Amino acid sequence: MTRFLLGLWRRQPDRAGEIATTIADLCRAAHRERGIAAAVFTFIAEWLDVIRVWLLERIGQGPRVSMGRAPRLTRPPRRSPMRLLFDVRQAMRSLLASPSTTILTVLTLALGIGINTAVFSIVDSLLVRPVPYPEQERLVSLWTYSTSGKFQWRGGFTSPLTVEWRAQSDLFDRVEGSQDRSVIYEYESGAELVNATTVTPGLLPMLGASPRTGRVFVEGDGRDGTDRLAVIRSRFWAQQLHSAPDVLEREILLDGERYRIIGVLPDDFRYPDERQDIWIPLDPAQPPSTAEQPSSFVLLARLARGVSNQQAAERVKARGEALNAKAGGDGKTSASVMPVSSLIDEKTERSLLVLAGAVTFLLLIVCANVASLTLSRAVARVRDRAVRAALGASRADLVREALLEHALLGVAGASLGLVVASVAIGAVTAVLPEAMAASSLNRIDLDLRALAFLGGVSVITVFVFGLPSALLAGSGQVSGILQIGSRSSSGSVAARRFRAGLVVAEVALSIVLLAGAALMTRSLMKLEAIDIGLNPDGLLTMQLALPAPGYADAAVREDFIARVVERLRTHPNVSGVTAGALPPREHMINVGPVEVGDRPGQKSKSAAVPVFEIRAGYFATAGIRLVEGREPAPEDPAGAAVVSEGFAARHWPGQSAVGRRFRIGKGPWRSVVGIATEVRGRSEAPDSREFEIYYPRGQASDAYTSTMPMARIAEYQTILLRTSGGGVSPEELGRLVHDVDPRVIAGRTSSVEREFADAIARPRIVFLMMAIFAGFGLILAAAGLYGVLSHLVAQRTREIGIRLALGATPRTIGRVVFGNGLGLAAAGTALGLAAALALVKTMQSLLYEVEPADAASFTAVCVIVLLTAALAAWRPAGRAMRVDPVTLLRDE
Amino acid sequence: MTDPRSFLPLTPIAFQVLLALVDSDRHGYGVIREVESRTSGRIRIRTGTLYTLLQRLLSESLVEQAPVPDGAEPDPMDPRRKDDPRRRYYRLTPLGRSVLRAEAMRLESLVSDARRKRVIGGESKVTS
Repeated sequence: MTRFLLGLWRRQPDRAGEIATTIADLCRAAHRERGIAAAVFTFIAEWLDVIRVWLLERIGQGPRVSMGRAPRLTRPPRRSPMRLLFDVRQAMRSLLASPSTTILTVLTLALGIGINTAVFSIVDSLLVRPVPYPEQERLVSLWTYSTSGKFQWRGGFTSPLTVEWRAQSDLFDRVEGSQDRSVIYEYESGAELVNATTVTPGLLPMLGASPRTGRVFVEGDGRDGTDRLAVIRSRFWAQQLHSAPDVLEREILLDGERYRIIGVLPDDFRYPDERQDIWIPLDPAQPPSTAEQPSSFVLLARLARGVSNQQAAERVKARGEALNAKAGGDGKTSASVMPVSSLIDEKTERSLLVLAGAVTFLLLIVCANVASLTLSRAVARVRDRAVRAALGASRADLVREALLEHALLGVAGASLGLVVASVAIGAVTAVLPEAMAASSLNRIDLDLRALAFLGGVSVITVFVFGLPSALLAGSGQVSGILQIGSRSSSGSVAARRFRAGLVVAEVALSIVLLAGAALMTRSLMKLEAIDIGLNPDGLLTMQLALPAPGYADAAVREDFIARVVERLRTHPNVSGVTAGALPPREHMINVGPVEVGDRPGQKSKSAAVPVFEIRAGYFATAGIRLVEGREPAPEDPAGAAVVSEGFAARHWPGQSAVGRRFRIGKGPWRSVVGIATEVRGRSEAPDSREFEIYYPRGQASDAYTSTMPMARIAEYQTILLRTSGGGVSPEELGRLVHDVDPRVIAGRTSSVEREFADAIARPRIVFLMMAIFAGFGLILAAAGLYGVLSHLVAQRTREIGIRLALGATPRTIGRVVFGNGLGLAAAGTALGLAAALALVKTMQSLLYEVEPADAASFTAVCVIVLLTAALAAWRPAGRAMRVDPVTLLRDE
Repeated sequence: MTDPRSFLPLTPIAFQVLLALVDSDRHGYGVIREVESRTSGRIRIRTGTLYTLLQRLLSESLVEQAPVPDGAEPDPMDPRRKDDPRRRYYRLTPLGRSVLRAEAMRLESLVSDARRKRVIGGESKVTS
């Protein structure tokens, strides 16, 4: 109140003084006539009245001169700051006059803008700007590849080769390398495997890593691998070291060696991805002599100024073999350059682009819908505006008012859109498969760029949807409208045609979205119907690392595994336990031509066949069915094997493989005792099947293992568990293992069910989002159609009445309205189908066993759209049929 | 000049304020007192209402500010004080006068209609 009074004083000192004097006079009079109490009462009552009237004035309800006329709010002069405020208040009042339309408009806008912003953030983080590093346009990654043509692979660089590439200073400013590795982090009560990365000292500075505390590596760190320095991530500091303030004086035990922490990197620094917790330096010019250190760097280089990606690619390829030979290689390996931005694979990129396209379509539908809504408001008030124009409001005034209303809608929509966006981003990142989220070096969140995008989209949206009604507001048809009266005017006819056009566009756009969603649905159904070859329900895998001290002997390891299996079996929720890797991951490979016993000397092409070592009960626990034969028994002679169906079908087509013999390369002869179902690859579309072979434990000595040997680890083992009931937590499993031997490191426990679900997570997400967008699109289009038809019936009520009076049956009238609606929908459908057929081609690579021009999908889409249109047209048509000509004409 | 009838009907309070200014120019306090004494305390205009209404009457040109009269009447409460310079005086404009007259005539015709129908009249002497 004091502030109000002071404000009044400041703005209108004369008036305030006058009021104060008058009140003082009144108080004095009251005092004289009726005593002090009356004076106090007067004082309070008078001031309260001043406030009451001031407040009433704000809402235009102040005291009036004349009863006939509403008080005119005096409009502040042009260019005064109060003018805008005044206009905003006018616009707000006008919007609140039709609350349902306004709320609908704001909600539609919020959804459109919010979802677009969310998808933008995701696309921006994963595709547009996945690399948050300085001068990222000059960053490239280097890979080696074989020029002999036997095998295709993408490989890394040895230390000498790294040094050779560093010398190519005409191409690169800097060449830095990294290699991921697991290290054993030991603490007082146990040990754990931690993701670490060995880096050349210049890598972190090149990527602009700025430590939260301490420093990053500098040239000279990591020489000979003897200085034992480490940079850790903030997360590791918090979780493992409890954010100890003296972190820079701490030493941690990694792989049995003491490492000094010299710096802490913030959590949002991601290189090579967000899973790394520890970085350890290594100087390639002076590599350590111990074998445990990596010799296969992934190289990241900054191109010299003036060198284009293209030039770099050509020159690197040209020099590759020579440098390889110089560095002590076989000279049959060259190198290639790739821009760093392409961290995510082609399919993910395509999915994101398709989603971005879909969401743009959704925004267009939103624009069309909101344009239609605002246009119907504008038409309803066309008379009102015409009167005001006749009274002297300029065209600019009217357009300005309309634009201001739209701007307010836009601001409200954008604010709510921000909420929608943050919720949507949260939801999407929650369901995004880890691999996809980790593939970006940028976090997905509402950053400044996303906010800028939101602002931009809102402005464009407001402009696009607001233009038609603003033009209508400013159109110079004043006299025409006033003369013709309320019936119908050329302006509203034009608006009606325009709205009909908008509906056609909305239907067409929804067809495109629906077509995309339908194709993804069919594709996903086919993917989910694929037999994955094992039973993933409740199946867990747990990694164990057996330390080298104490487990050097194979028999000791075998004894330990047997005891762990027995220990785990005691858990009530565990129904089956065995040890052995589970296809398709973590396997060994047998390389060589396959030779079949029936046709000695006749060899197939050289192949790399995945090999799995199994123990008793393996197939029952994993849920892999044996379609023929049995699992190897202890009494079988050496060389018993189970092969997968595919392997059997290829080498013994049309015959039973059980009892047959084969060998791979120069390995021992094996005899088939059983045939197992094929386990599907964990890629989403199992196009390239690799067949599996299972050998009893200890008989795969001729196979290569794919895990890197580590000096501190004797062997990695996978424990397979079938759980039921409430399942078993990783902590419980770790405890049970440590009951047997606390020195063994219990690594990652993962749910096989989850892994297989993740394999088709990308198509599922694309499907989910497409379905959501298409659903919104369809609802909006139906709402648009409903609105246009309702408006049409309302406008033509008189015409309908006359027709009925002249003998038309309600049925005919209903049919006309209904037909009108279906006509619009059909036109939209035709347009939409043409557009969809052209656009779905871009989705080809995302579809599994579904053609982009899939007839079933397109038929379903048309049926859905036309049914929805019929539903939307139903009520307006019914309303037209119930028009009573007698009442109507009497009212006239 | 604006048609006085375009203001009709006046709100009762506007009518009272205009009526108070008929015989002399007054300041706000004067208006309140005049209305109060003329209506025997039945109508008491509060300050906030009065000044907002005066503002509006000014903008509609029904009243205007008057110069402080020569030898302004001494402060009614404190004869030793000269009139407070913060007080402003108001007076009727010709338009205000015609609007007031038009409103009075409108009320007159309403009342005479009622009298013709004998809604009032017979007992009017008793009440007055």
